[in-house]
Amino acid sequence: MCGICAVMLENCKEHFPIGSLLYKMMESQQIRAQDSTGVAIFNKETNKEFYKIDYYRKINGVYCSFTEKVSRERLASSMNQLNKDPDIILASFAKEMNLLKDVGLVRDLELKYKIKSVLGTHGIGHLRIATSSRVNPYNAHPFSTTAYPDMAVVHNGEITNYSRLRSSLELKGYRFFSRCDSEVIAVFIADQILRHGNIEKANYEFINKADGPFTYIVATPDSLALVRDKNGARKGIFGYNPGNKGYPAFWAIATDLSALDSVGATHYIETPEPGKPKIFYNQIKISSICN
Amino acid sequence: MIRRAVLELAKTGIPRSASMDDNIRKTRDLNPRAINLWDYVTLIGAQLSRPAYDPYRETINLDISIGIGKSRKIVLNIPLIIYGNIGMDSYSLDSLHLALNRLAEGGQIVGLILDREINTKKDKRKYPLFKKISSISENQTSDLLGEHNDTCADGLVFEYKDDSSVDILRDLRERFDGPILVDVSNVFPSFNSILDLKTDGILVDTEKITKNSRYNGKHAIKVICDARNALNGYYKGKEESSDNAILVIAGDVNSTGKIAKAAALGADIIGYSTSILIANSHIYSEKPYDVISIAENVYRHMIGTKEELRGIPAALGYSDFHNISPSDLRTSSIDASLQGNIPLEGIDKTYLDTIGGIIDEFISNKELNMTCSEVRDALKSMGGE
Repeated sequence: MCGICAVMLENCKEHFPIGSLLYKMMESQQIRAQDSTGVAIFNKETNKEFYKIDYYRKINGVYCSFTEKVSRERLASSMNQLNKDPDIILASFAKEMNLLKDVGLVRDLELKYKIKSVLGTHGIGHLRIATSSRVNPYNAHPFSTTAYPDMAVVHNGEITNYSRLRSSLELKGYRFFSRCDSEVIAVFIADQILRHGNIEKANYEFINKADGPFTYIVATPDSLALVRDKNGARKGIFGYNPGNKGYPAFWAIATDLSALDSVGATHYIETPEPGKPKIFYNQIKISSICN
Repeated sequence: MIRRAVLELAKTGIPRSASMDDNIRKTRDLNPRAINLWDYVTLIGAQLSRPAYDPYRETINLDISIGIGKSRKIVLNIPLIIYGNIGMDSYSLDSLHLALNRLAEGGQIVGLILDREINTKKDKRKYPLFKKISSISENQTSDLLGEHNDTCADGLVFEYKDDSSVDILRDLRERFDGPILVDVSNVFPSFNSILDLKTDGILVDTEKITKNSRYNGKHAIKVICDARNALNGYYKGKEESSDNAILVIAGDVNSTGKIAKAAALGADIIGYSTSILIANSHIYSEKPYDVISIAENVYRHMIGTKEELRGIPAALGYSDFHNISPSDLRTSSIDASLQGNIPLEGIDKTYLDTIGGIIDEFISNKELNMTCSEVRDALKSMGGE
């Protein structure tokens, strides 16, 4: 019974602390899950030269977190090394994305990373209650993949044919870092995007191949996709806040209505048709975001 | 919403199959003051952990198609092909024919592999028939294909004997546009060259193979795992396609449990022999040689098997039978765990993983003077040849 949420600004003239909206939405859904928490927030103005790779490395039986900044020239060799090392677990591979996750409640994440003040154009959040894998920072959502930068996935439900999907992706050479079924969504979508570059088609493909009850949100620098399984067995709703003076208009996605209520996104509340992805495209140009 | 669903069920007698939040769009204004408080509370709390699929109410897919590229595709609605190295008299054969026809009329297509003709004068065949070919020389191929055109077999099962079979298979492939399954039991597990010839499927007879010296004393699960690994190895790194050859596992599969095990280990279609045994048992029945009553027995058995097959993925939370995987199996035998990489009962980890974990601990405590890779190699050799 995890909780997921997302926010995408419709338009704005300033940086906006997306983290504060996600915080409110996550806090209102905290009753659903209390094991771990995470957010991924996209900001096109951050770090244009380097790729940021966050990972956990096993040292004397304990996983410690590390961050590496890698230039484009060194990226291929670094990723190759990362994919081969069995003692490494990826947390995030990004250029524009700020992915923060840990065990504990949303307020613990705030204390550690000050997520409320993280600026951006859109972002996703997740509250986890462990069902299939252990409670530790690297099994927390959002999930990222080495296959494609700046892509994060949060998921509520189960991918019951996880093993089968994972083995078919491993056959193609993709590395998996956790035993969590949600990671397979990230890798699958990354594989599809690399193949045809179409986020909508990628999600349709996943719906066709995946079995079980699930709702997930995929975030890329240009889009947010809310996807429900073909039987509609898991919840997923979105609503709109038209904004006000000094407050930008935005779309919000959540599992529970309380989350939409908490940020005033109660206009045009809808749920996507089961098996039909709802995509929100980021229409904000970098130039329109000014300091 | 729960109340609404119950009232709806009481009124119509039809349980709701749609998602619980389908009604959300109808309650646009979600302010608790504006709508019924009960609805508001149930909307917020309406999240149940997904129960198992209900095979009687929800769609559980068992379909599988045979045929790649340009070859005509055959779709089976139950992933079974009746197959067995068991002799049949004409009564058994006729009753099997009647039963499969009746199943096909009800939309339940099951295949049949036979090495001889079937009498279709009274009843036209409505199910796919695969003609089994073995011991054929190259110059006989054209005659044989001519014969096939007359009897309209939908597919072929070719018994691959040695390298000399390559030319015959190539010739068959060029002339026959239906699916060709190749029985690779004689050359198992080396069949990459056969896949190169655009074979539609590989048939593996576990009973035959476990009698070979290489697999002597091994479980059938080892054969199935090796077959699946060999197929996966062949397609490794290649673009995923629905046109990959399928794996047909036959031999000693005589119950729903064994069908499910074979499917979990990687079989796409299972060669099933029990229907033949039921058909053959007519001489012990109350009405021996009564084709209609034998056919009825076979038909009922197949319907029962199908319903059992639908129940297995449903209980595991799958809506497709072919999503069952080795991780759904459990074994109490160390041997089976090593040979099939199946988790052990109770601990839900394979024997290899369990031992690996213990050894990892020894290494990290410096109580064992081996590197991780040396240990992994040693463990692999335990489960391998």
